[in-house]
Amino acid sequence: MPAEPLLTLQPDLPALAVRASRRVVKLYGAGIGGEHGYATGVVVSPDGLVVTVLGLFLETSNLRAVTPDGHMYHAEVAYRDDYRQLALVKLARYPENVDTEAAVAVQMSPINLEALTPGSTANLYAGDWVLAVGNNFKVAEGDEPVSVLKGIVSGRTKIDAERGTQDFPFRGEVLVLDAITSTPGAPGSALIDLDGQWVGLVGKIVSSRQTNTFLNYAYPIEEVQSFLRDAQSGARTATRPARVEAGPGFHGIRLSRIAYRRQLPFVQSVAPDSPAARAGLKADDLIVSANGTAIPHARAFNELCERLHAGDELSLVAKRGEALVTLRMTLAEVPK
Amino acid sequence: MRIASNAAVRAVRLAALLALCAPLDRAGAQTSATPGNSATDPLAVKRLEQALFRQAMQRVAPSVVTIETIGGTQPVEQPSPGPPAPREGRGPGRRPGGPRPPQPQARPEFIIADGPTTGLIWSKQGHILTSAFNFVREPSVITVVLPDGRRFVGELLARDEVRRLAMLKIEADDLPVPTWVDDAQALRVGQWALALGRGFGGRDPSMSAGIISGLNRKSGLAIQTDAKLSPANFGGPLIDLEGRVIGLCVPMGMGSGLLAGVEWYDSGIGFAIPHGQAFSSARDLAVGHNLRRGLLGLRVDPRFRRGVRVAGMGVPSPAQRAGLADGDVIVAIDGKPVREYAELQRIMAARLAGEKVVLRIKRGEEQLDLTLVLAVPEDIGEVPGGGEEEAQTRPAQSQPDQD
Repeated sequence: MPAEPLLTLQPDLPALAVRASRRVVKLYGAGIGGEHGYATGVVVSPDGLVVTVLGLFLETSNLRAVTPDGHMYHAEVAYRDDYRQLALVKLARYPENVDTEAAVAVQMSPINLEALTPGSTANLYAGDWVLAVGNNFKVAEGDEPVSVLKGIVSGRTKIDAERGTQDFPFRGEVLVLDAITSTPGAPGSALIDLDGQWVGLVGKIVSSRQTNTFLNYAYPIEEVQSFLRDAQSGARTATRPARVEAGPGFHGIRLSRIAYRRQLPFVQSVAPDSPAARAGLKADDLIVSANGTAIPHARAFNELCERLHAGDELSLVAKRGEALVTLRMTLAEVPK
Repeated sequence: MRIASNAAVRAVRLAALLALCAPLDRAGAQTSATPGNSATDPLAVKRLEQALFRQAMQRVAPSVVTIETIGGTQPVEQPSPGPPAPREGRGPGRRPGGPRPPQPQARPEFIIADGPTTGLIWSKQGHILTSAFNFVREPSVITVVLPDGRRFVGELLARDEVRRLAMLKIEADDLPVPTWVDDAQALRVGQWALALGRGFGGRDPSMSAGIISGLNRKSGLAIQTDAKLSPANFGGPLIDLEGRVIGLCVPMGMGSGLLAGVEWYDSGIGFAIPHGQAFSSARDLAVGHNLRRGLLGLRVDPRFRRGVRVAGMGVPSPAQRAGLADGDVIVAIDGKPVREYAELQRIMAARLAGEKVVLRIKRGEEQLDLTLVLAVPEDIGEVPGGGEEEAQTRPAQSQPDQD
């Protein structure tokens, strides 16, 4: 008697994964010391444009891309975005590395790859299943399909992250994942939802300053599309969004200073008639949060204020005795 | 006959699944699949799961609070003297997947970050149960932000060193207390478990999905889950698909240090304190009573293989006060047989200072029952050759089974 299937309602995740894995490439470049010389890229146009993360692996004249059919291409960085930490790579035929097994005509023909079409994260919520499809630990070799990780979207949030001692400049919203994508080769993976939509791109390995843990995250696909638009518009190098031209902001707050690494953000004095004075801040108040961000130490407050300009709003929560007071002010020009 | 009836059972199950889908859609818990497609949609089960995850999270989210701490110092203690973390090459300061760069010895293994942490409303009157990990730095100021945005100064009432819990109090009233699974028998290995946390900020708590991997772990103190736990959700709830709290997420690894277990973050080995343990802890914590690990104050002969033989004790110590003598062999604790030191360690890891234990010992041909009141290390004199406090922070050595 034939065995009865245990469950006829089989989740068909494999089909989604296979479709996506035909549209990503394995990238191999420079590896130095602990930096891994490989990553993943997503094919965004049939003629060989691939989006990936910025990384040391790109810093070589011998960047290679292996397509799902096992073909190896020469690759060159066509566009870099230092703010988003993304790169666009262009594949080219490898004339000096002709595969003698295949017909020369095929090898010299124009590149024609299957590309992933961006979807939308408008209906993607925390808790939704996603697949991350990429070159994790470069375990898949040649024409072997890349690795597929399953997880859920943990949430959408802005991250404050660093890579080693370097700041991770991107400050936009990301999709935090509960699949472990902070592993070598995974950056640049395609994130796919249950509808098979391309909904995100796994970012490079960074650690969160908020938790001091490695982050598993992806750029929402809309961010990737903005990147692709910037790349198309031909700007040589994208940077942070242009700031409103304004001088540095003045709040009039002086924090107490003792030679101590984690100085508590106690207010030592408030300049008379300054924005902080008018808002009602007093000496000995302890600043607890600024513009919605917790201020664990004086340095955090100073760093936050360095990014503000005259005319910007500063909203503070301060502890006065056992009570919390909320104060709002508009920063002024620095007095001459 | 039998096949037909099995098919009928499956049809009923599928119908039940689809019936579950429908109210979710009506309630606005958006699923991209419409129930009408579900019969032919091979991903119907997955879609149902994700809708249920979200619904469960939203049910508990109003009780999941953000904790901010200000000031304090980094502990310099090593989190674990135990074996290497399960995933080599992970953990802050290490390059993922690569060899660990050499680090100065005095540097702590895990730097506690400045970001927000998580707590769970325990009482309507403003008690917040959370993980003791969140206060390792001994912060000068603690604030609690409710999901509705209200911010309060939090008072740290007390800590539980054994269950790694802590209780805060805020001056708030009418807070939404979540429902707990209070029947330990109702929990099953393999059932869905979602961990919620506030460590990444954002409007909703972040969520990681997994299952219950084990019950009665860590000397019966904890439930084990493969949902990813980290400083982003330590202190937050582990919930079931009905939005009931299974346990409170805490780091628990090898060793008894304050940071023990952090090195296992996001590894798929995570622990949560279930209702029974949380409840008995909270009773003490809410009245400002710190709970400490209880020690016997004795040393065990490491060369003795046929049981647990006393080879020294502190003066004073619970062991000395109860009249134990060097050479006594401990054969049972509170009626539980003890054949080797690791077993004694396992039992003692869950015991609190102030608790009584009955040791059955063999002294020559004689068997004696001695009652000890467990003490904190500060109340125990120096144990010759090092006491159990030191020994217990070492992982129990795994020994081959002997028959």
